Amino acid sequence: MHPFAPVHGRELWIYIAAATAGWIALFALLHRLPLRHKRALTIALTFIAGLFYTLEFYLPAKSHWFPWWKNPLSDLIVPMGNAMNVIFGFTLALGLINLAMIHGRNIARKRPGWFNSAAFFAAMISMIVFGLWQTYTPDTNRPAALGLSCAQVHRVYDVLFNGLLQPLGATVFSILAFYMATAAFRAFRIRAAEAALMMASAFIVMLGQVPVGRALTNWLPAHGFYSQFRLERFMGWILNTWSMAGVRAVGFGLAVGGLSMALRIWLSLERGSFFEMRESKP
Amino acid sequence: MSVAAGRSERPRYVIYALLWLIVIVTLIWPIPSPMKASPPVRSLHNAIEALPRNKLVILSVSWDVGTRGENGPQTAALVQHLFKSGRRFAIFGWAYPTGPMLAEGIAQSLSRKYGKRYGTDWVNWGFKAGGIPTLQALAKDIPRTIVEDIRHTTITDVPAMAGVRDWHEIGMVIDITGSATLDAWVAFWQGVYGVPLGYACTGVMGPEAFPYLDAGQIKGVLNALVGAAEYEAMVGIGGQGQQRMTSQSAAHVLIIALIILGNVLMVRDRRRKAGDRG
Amino acid sequence: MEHANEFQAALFLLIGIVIVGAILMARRGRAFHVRRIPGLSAIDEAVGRATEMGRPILFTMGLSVLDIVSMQALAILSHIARLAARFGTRLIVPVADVPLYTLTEEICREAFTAEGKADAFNPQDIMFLSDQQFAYGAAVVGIMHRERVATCFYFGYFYAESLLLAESGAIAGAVQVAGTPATTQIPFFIVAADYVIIGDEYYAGSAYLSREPTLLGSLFGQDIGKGIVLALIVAGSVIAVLHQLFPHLVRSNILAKWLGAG
Repeated sequence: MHPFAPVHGRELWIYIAAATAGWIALFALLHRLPLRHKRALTIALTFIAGLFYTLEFYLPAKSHWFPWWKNPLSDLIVPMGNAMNVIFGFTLALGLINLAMIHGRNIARKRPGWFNSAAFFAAMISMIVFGLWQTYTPDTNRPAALGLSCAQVHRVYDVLFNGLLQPLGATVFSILAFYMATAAFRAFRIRAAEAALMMASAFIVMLGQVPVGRALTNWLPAHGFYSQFRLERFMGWILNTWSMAGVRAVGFGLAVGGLSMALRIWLSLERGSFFEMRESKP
Repeated sequence: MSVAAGRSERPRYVIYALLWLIVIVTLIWPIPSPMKASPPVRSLHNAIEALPRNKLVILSVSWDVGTRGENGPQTAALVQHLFKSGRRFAIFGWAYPTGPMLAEGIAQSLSRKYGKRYGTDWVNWGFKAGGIPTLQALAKDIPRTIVEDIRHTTITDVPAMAGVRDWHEIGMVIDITGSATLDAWVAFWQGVYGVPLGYACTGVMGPEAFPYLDAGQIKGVLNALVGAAEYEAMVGIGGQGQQRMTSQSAAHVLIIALIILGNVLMVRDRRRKAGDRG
Repeated sequence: MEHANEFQAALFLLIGIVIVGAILMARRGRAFHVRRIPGLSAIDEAVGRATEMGRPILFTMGLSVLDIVSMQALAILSHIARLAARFGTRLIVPVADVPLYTLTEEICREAFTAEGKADAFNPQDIMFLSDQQFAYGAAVVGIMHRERVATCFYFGYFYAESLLLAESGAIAGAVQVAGTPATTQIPFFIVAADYVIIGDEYYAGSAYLSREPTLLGSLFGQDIGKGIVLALIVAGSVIAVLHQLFPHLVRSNILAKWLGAG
């Protein structure tokens, strides 16, 4: 029997009740701890949490020198993944609760623009109700509730998701195209040789991607030396040499910088205004 | 708004209007143009064609409604290729909850066209919230990580999932994304288990893919709408990628014209100031 | 490569020891020089501009979630919050992630308290807007225009909303300082923002601003780590070329195999 095998029925509810009670008791206890003990506990838990995935990767699955050796952490990867799934699921609810509190306050205190908060509640409630409802009802003419049939529930959901959410989301994203055009007019100025080089590369890549640009150099032979000057091939050369080198260089720098930052946080060596303020508190 | 402020806003509104007009006109009256697939697109197509038919393909749909303009045609082109070539695939999302739902809509409408059935020819695993730990768990045990499909059927009861236990049964993962998800697939699937990776991304993310393509860590790239258009041409289907290339061309030309105009105006203003001083 | 081989484990250990060693050296008094980074130097200036104009500062971390990128952004926010508290300038921080929001509020409160201005801290200025990309972007743009911010700081992980925010800030006439490890968004910030911090200058931010020995030592250690990576790249390229030219002498790219790529 796997240690993390799923349970069902009454056993599941006992597990849930026991886990909830246990966590409440644990948090109550943690709340009473003095600050310096909380800090020590935070450091210990941070280290252990980071150690799990580090050791799981760096310890070998098997060993030549110790035939009995088997990496004990590898079997925990799947339960850990499932646990993360559940924990991340809570953050969705956390976001909703937070938003509801903020917008609820706006409506209760009739702050300017409170009607936007009312729109938020209308959108949230309708999406939750019809989203869940259509998941659990078949798309048939069978009556559902509130005078609606199951098919009508699906249609309302279609209007909300396909008719409202999708076009609204795509519309806001489309603003970027207009902002790109104005940014191009306002800010792309050739003030130095490097800027001129960058601009030339940008023109080649932009034209090489689209049929009208490719048509400009279609008259060049498809093979041979002069084929390199076709816009799409020139674009490919820029992306596969110059651009790739730059992206790789920045990527390596970021990766090592990220490793350093991760090490500092894992080993609780992070310093700076905030962390020193926490330490100086009694 | 003061008169002066309004005057300074005018160029912006003219640019907006011009862009809007050009895109609308070219969307209504597109000029068909043959698309020739670039090497990254051809590589992806050939990699999919070379896959064993008994293996499952994962379409990791990490995009939202905002990037539907680029990722939607890419998803449609890939789904059509998989349907045409008779390969089973699973839709999976771990970055955006709406991704699997959007891909479901695309796959549903295309399945009717190709006579394919949900559950037999494709499955939708839905959205899993755990991030990278979920990807790691998925590689080791797919049924225990996914548990149910988007229609709440136990995953082991879905015919398309017969015999699929872990990464061994996965032929390829194709990451269709508008977000920074490629690094996770490279690090935790391709790098660890050697599972072949394909990538379909928005235009702005294309240059980031080339180091991985060059190193052989990904088999091919569909970059932006043009990638979708080229892939449609390779697979021999019509689609939104090719239909929208006229608009894309027009928009690119307009932006280049605006950059040139902006620089011409800058030079003219400089000369005027120099003339006033002299 | 489900688990690391000995070479990979040794490489990680080496880089880790170098970084931790540099930190310990710095704590013992060894001084490390950091070159001038214009974007980071501009932070104090930008805060000063907002103070002179009597208009607020906006600090946004984009769509960052609670990870090392946002921890770095919070370190920079802490510095800015202290400056804002010292000069009596309003600081608005919209956040797109709930766990990050609670930490952000705590950091800003602590910064104001450390400057002796606990009463001046307004928790309403630290707000969770939405975790949806364009709902967040649109809300921040609205704040920029309604509050007429004088200075905008963009530090964290950004996606497509970067251009939306930066261009809106430029239209609103704000001075903008941006730093992000998201290479795809750097071009948009370079076009629309006044100062941009590129690549691992972002991770140098907290060390540069605080000049704290631990952070400076870590910066030095990560530079040595980059040197090690560079040496491996050069060695790997040489071996790959020799393997191509003299296959009977150099039978395989051993370095690639050790790193799990061969």
